[in-house]
Amino acid sequence: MKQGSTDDPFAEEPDDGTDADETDTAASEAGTGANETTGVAGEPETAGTTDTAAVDSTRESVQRGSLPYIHARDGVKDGRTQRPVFLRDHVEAGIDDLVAEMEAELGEDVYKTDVTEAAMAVAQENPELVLAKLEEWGYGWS
Amino acid sequence: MLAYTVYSEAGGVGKTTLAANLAKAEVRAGRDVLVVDLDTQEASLSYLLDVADDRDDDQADSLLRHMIDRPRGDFADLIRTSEGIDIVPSHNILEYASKHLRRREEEAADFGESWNPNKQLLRVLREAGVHEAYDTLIVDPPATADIKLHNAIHATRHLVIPFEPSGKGYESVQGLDQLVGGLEDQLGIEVGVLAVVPNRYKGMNDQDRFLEEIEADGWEIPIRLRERSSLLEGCWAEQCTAFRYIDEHRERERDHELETIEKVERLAERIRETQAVEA
Repeated sequence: MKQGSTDDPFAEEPDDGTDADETDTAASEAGTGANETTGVAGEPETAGTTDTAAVDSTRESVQRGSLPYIHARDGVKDGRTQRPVFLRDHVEAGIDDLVAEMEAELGEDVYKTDVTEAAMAVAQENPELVLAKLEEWGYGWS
Repeated sequence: MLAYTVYSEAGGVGKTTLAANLAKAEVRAGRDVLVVDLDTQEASLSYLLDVADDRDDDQADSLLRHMIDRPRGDFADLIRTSEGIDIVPSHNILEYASKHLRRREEEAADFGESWNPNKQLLRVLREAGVHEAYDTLIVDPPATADIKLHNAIHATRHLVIPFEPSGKGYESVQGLDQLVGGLEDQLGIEVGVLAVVPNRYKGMNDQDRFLEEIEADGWEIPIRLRERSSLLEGCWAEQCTAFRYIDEHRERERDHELETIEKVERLAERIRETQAVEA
């Protein structure tokens, strides 16, 4: 917990009672601002409207109005299922490096869970990159 | 809407009386106030403000019924009013909140739904449009850290922490910090402390030392409440806030008691300012 004000859990909501979630400690106004964003015209509530910035082919969970995914959910684990994944150490260590890089770029705290899933989503959108990596690992030599 | 939970890990620090009197101070400031009483102790806020008569009626609708999707009526019908404060009274069934919420969670899981038992108070309040109808929401949870407290903190995201300036009191704030940290991770929320409120302050050196420690830890202490046992006992005996007690049950005004209610009003104002900074 921290001294002072955080986000408003009663800010505009979807009907299932999820709300904006802060990933951010240093600059909470960034999150709260997003809570009250009215800049983007609120479309009628439909399942899976994705935010305008990202061309996104992954199926997102239901979103509120026009809020991007991290602000429309209740918590980082919401709607996600924990999966055991087999990773080699250097790849796993690379996730932390990637998180650090994203935090540096965005200037705010970023969940490792989000970075991991985003990496998977990017891979799915760019199969040619995955193909190149698999070939590097020895696939396609037959 | 300003929303906060009044909570301390240490019992007997005047949590309930502080919640009730802050609510009254908000009313006096011209605000619409809702207090949610989740405390099942006999000496609860519902008793203090004399709205506890239905608490053992098992036919009565209750907040918990709404939280587990088994309401018997409208949320608005749960509300009682005392001294201009709207109150959702406590009900004995809240003793079994954990059991009922978990059971409902299991039932939802059987149907492949995700249903978080810690998030139901917020859902109920929001569906009832509480944030549109009220300027201030104050939740008074039980002294034990259970699922009711989790719901209170999740719904309000803000805390006002009564604190006895002593080693034990200091430890209780530390303990609360840890508990809230766990809750923040678990629920993916961030919790803000609007004020730490020393109670039974006597101006003693060792008390000052603990207040300095609390401030050094970064918590804000807008006011210090001194021991006012006769005033508080009067409130519980007459079932009213300190404001009404002084107004109606004191034959003459006592300066130190007036000072106490002025402090509570100042605290309420300071809490509003703190919340407004980033909201």
